[in-house]
Amino acid sequence: MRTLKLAAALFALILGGFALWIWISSGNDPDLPFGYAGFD
Amino acid sequence: MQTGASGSSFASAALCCVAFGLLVAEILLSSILHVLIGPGNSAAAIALALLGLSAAGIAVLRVPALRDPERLERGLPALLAGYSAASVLAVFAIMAVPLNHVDLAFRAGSAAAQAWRALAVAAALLPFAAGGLVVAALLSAHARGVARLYAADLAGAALGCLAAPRLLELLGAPLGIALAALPAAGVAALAALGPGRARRSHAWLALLPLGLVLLARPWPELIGFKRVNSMGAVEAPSYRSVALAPGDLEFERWDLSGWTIVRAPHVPQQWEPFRGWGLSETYHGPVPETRLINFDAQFSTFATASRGSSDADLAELAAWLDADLGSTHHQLGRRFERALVIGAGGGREVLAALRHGARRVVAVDLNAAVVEELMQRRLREFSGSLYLDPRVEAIADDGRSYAARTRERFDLVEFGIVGGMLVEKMDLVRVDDLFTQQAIASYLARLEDAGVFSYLMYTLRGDRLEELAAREVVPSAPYIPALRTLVGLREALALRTPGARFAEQVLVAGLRGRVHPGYDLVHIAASPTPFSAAERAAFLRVCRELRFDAIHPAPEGSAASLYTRAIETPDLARFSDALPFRVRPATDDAPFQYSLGTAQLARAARAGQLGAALAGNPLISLGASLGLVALLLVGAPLFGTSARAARASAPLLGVFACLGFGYMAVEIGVLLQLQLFLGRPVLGLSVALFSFLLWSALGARLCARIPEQSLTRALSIAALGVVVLGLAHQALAPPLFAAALHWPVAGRAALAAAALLPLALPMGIFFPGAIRLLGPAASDLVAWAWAINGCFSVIGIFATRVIALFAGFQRSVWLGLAAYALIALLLPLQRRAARS
Repeated sequence: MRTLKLAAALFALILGGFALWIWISSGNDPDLPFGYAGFD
Repeated sequence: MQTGASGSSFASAALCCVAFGLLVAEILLSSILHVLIGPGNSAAAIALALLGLSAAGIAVLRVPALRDPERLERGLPALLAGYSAASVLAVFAIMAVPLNHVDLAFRAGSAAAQAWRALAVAAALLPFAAGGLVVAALLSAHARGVARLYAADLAGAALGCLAAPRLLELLGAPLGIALAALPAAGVAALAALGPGRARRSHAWLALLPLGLVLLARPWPELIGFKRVNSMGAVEAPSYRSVALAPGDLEFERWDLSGWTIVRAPHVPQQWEPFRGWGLSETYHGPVPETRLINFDAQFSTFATASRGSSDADLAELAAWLDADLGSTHHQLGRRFERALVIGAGGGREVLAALRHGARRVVAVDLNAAVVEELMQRRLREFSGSLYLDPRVEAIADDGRSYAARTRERFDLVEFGIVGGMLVEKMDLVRVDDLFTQQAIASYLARLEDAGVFSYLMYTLRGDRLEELAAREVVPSAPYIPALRTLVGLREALALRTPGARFAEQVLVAGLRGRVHPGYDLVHIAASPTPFSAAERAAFLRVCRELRFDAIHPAPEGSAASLYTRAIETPDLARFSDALPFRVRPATDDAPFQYSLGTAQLARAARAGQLGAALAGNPLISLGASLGLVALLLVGAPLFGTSARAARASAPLLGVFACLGFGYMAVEIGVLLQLQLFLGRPVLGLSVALFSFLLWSALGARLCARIPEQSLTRALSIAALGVVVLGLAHQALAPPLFAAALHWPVAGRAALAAAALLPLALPMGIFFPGAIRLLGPAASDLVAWAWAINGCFSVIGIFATRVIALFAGFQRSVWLGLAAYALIALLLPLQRRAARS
C-alpha cells in the first residue's frame, strides 16, 4: 500500500508539472494558438 | 560472480535491453505525440516521461525491498516483464486516444480534449517509470559492478539509436515501440528459466507483452490513429475533426521526418476544395487534379496530375502555375536554366521551373517517403514521371546541408512554403537552422550573379504586425519568418554586393488571409543583380493583374509597411532594436525563431513585464515547470530517513547533479555542430548520438580498471581532461568539419564518429566512478544518485536550450564544461567529508 501511495504521489507530481506548464503558457495569443503555425 | 537471475550477466543484459527499449520509445513516442497532441505538448510529455525514469529511482530509494539483492533476484523477471508490458500497454492506450493535435488548438476549452491529452501524457510516463524501476533496482543491488552495468545501459541506448529509425520505417512508431520492449521480456523469460532463484512461474509473465503485440496483427486499427483533421478551403479555413476508419489511408509511412499519409479520395482532405495555396482569386481557368500528401496531420505538399513533363504537357498547366503568388519571379523576364528547389515536396516549383525553361532542376526534400516512395513510385504515373525526368534530380536530403555541400551554382534557389514549425524543435540532435543568417548566406553563395532567391511563406498578417510593432512590449514573439528572412537577405546581400541598394535587389508580394485568417502568404524574390526598371514594372503589372499585394516596390501612394521600412531604413540595427520583437534571423549558434533580444528584454523589464515576456517562450515556460518538478523530485528524500546518509555524501551527490547537467550540455552542443556536416536526421541519430553513447559506454567499462585508491585522483584528472578536450573540440571541430564538408557520406560519418571519441570516452567514466566512491553507502544511495543524475539531465536538456536562446550553444557547452570543472573541485571535498 505504501509503495502504491508513493507511486501515485510521484505520478501526481510529474503530471502536476505538465499542468503547471499548460497554465503558464495559457496566456498566449488565442489567435495564434501556441504550438501551431497554422497549416499548409 | 553471481549466476542467478539478477547475476551480473543477466543484470547487464537486462539493463542493455531496457535502455534500448527506452531510447526507441523516447524517439518514436515523440513522433506519435506530435500527431496526437502537437509538437509543444509532445516535447513536454517526453521530458516529463524522462523525469519518470528518475522518479523510479526515488521509489527504489524509499522502498528498500526493491533494492534487496535476494528479492531482486527472485523478482527481476517480473520487473522486466512489467516494463515490457507497460511499454506495450502505453502504446495501446495512447493510440486509443480519439484526439488530433488540432483539437487542442481550436477547441482549447474542451474538457474532453484536455482529459484525453492528460491520459496520453500519463500513458507516456508508464514505460519510463517501469524501465526506471528496473535500472535503479539493478544499479542499487549491483553497486560494485556498476562500471559494467552502466556500460551495458549506454550500449543499449546506443543500439537504440541505430534501431529506432529502422523500426520506425519498417513497422511504424506504435509497433516499433512495442517490439523494442520485447527483448526485455526475452531476458525476463531467460532469467526465470535460468539457474538462479527466480520464480519459474514468472516466465509466463514474459509472454504477456508478446501476446499484446500479436493482438495488433489481426486488429491493426488498435494501434492506428483515430482522428485527423480537415481545414476546408485555403481562402476560408474552418477546422473540423475527422474520424479515421480502416481503409481511409491510401498511403502511410513513418520515418524521422514524421508521419506521412495520403488520404483516400473519399476521406476529407487536409484542404478542400484544393487549388493551391497562392492561387490568384482572378484565376478561373482549369485546375489540375492534385493529391495532397499530409505530414503529421499538419503540413502538406501536393502532387499535380500531369500527362508528362514535355513542353506540350507543361503548357496545359502553364496558366494555373503562373497565376500563383509563388511564380511571380518567373514572370519578370529572367531565365533560370539551373534551379535548386529546397523542400520540393510534390514538385509544384519543379513544374514551374521546367515550364519556364529550366534545363536542370535539383529537387531536394528531407522526406524520403515523398521523394522516393510517392513521387518516384506510387504517384509516378499520376505526376507524369516528374521526378524521373532527365532534367530533374530528386534527392532525399536535408536542404540546408545539401546547399552547403554542393559546389554547383544555380540561377534560381527556391523555397516554396518550407519549414513552419512554431515551437522550437527540442530533439537532441537537431534544431531548425533552415533560415538562419548563415543559412541565408550559404544559399546566396550558390546563386549566380543574375540568379534569384525565391521564398514563399506564410507570416503574421501585415496589419496585425503593424499593431504589434507600435507596442512597447509584446506577450510572445510573433510568427514572422518572411520578415526575418527579408532582413537576413538584406544583410547577406550587403556582404556579397557592397554598395548595391537592397531596395533594388528585392521584390515582395503578398496575399491576405491564406491558410489562417491571421496570416499573409508572402513571396520574396531577391537577387545580387538589381531588378531593372522593366522587371519592376513587370512585377507591379503581375501583382495588379492577379490582385496580389505589391509590398515592395509598392504602388505609388501606399503607406510604408514594416517590410518597406526593413528594406529602406538606413540603419537596420537601430530599426531592429526599436521594435518589441526581433526581426533579424536567428544564427546557427542560437537557431531559435522565437527568442527575444536583449533590447526587447530590456524594454519588457522597463515595462514591468519581463516575467510575462519570458513565460511567452515555450522553452522557458517548459524548462521552468520541469525544473521545479525535477528539484522537488530529487529534493524530497532530504526530508526522509536518507538525510543523514546524504550529508556524508553531499559532495558526491553534487557530482551526480553536475554530471547529469554537464553531460547533456556538452553532448547537445557537440552533436548539433554535426547537423550541417552530416545532413539527414537519420545520420544525426545513427552516427552522431550512436557513437557518442558507444564511446561513453567504452569509458564506463574502462572505469572498472581504475584501482580503488587512485579513483578520486583519476576522476579529478579526467574531469579537467574533459574541460580541456571540450575546449579543444570546440576550437578544432568547426574547421575540421568545414574542410571535410564535401566528402562522401561514409567518410563524413567516419570522421564524425572519430572526432567524438576523445571527448565522449572520458565523459562515460564519471557515473560508475562516482558510484564506486559512494563506498558502503552505495547500495542505499545509488537509486538517489541515479535520480539526481536523471533529473539534472532533463534540466540540462532545457537549460542548454534556454542558455543558447540568449547566449548561443557554444556558451552552453562552456557551461557544461564548467560543470565538469566543478566535479574536479567536489571530488576532493568528498574525500575530506568521508575522512571526517
